Amino acid sequence: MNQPGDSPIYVVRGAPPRPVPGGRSTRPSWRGPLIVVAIMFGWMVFTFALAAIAAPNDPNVEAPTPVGLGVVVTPADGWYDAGDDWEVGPDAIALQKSGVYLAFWASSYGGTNESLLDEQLGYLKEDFDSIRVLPASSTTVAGDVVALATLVTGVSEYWSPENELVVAVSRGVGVVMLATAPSGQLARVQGDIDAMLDDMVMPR
Amino acid sequence: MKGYVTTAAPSRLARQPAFWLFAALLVNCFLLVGLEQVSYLAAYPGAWLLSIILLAATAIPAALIIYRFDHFEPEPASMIAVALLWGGVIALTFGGITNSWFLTFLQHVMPAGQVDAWGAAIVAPINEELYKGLGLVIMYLMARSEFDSVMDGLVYGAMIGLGFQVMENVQYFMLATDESGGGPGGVVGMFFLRVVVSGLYSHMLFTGLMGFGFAYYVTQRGRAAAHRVGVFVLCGVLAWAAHFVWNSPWLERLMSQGSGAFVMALIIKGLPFLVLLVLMAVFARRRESQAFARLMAGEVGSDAVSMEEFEILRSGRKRRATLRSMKQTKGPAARTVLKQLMRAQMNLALFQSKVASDDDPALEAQRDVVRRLRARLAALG
Repeated sequence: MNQPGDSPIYVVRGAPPRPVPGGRSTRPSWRGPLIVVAIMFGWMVFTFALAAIAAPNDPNVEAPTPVGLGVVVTPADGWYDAGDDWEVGPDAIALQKSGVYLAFWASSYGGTNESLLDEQLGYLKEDFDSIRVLPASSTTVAGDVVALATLVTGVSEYWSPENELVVAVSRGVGVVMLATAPSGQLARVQGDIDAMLDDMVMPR
Repeated sequence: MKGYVTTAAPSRLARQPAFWLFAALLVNCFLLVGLEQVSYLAAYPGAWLLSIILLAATAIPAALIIYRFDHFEPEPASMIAVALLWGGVIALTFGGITNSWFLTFLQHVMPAGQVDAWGAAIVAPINEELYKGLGLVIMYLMARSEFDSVMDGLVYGAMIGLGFQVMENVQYFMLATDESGGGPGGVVGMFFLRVVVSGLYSHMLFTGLMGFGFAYYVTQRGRAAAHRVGVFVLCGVLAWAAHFVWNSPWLERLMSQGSGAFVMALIIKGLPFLVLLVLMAVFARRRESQAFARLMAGEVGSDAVSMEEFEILRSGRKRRATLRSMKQTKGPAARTVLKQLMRAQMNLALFQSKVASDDDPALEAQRDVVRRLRARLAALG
């Protein structure tokens, strides 16, 4: 072990103290630290000012978008067209935000919410090796139109996304909303999805 | 000894205004980071604990590997602690706040699709590399004597990055936990993605590059100022570019084509910069080795260091083999003394680099330390 005279040379962990010539370079000074503080807080204030100045601008005007057959959807803030990544066909729109994809389809439909939901679940089954479906719950969309909503987890070799499926039928028009995202990601945009469903316009 | 002994020991650090600035920032930022951790612990205690265990199991070995890069002149534990705390508490806090405001700015001047795809690539490298880099400046202002080679900057930079990476990972793990309903699956999945698959290509790499450049600027004083500034700027740009490429949406299509393609895309994005950092580390280590040989020239062949011992000291592999052999032949106590002897002998090079003459009292005292250790080792049989 260390001898009293050896201290503090015998430091096993960390380096031992080392001698350096005294002089100007080691003299304590507040100048350098104050410059660092000025840069740290200066940059913070600058980014805040940028955000504040730009706040009145909004390049993403959330304009109502016709889906077809009288159905209109207003994309929530930050959602944008995903038509290049997801071909949804006529009378439909596809949107995306932060890795979450969402589509609305409108079609003439004479059945009930239950039959439309069964039909859509059948399509989803074809897309995956297997699916897990939570019991459907009743909800309202477009203000007061009764709808059915369910969560579906699809399992395939390469990915297992979670999906939210909502169907509603009104005046002979069936609307299907399918949101799909990597596992665990849907919750982040649930508020946006709910807002878009609520603000949706359907034939009355 | 008066007049030429200064160290990075905590008591010495406390005399530097930069240390008090660091302490003040740390206390304030720790309130935010600490509150965040407490909220994680309260919401998901099991997942939080699992996160800490997993991250400790990987970060501690990573820190030891970085620490041992500089085998001729290990950095003081106090400075390593400062680097980790700067990265994990101060840079993380300032980076988080400015990232949020900068992203808000982008959301108001760019289309949503562009912000969605490029926001993280634009915002994070600018803010986070700035605040991590300022940690190097503060450390330099605290203890200039600890920056005497490019290897020092690389080690301190990587340590700042490691601290940042660990605390940022806790945030990601808890977010995944929240989104997956509170189970451990989110933590394990995110651990695999952010640590197992891509841990090497993250903040340790970015700030390691920056640290190399910073240390080059402050240590290579024999070179032209323009040259030193050029290397510093180049390394800063490389750090920013590595972060930008990593966060960018490039190769996203490849990433979506199965797990093999995903890993391949990560390798393409991160490996070139990692290779560059490894080359820099090799360069720095070679320079350290050359400097060590030059500084030890006057000692080799004396009763402090024999030629054979010098050859062993120059090689980490030979040192380890010698220590193993000593343990096997003379026991663990002899190994401990030998390790101390080797460190004391290597410190002769550090003393040589700092004193004006070969008979400086500090150098003589260090030679006496070596002699005493040698005698103690001999006494062990």
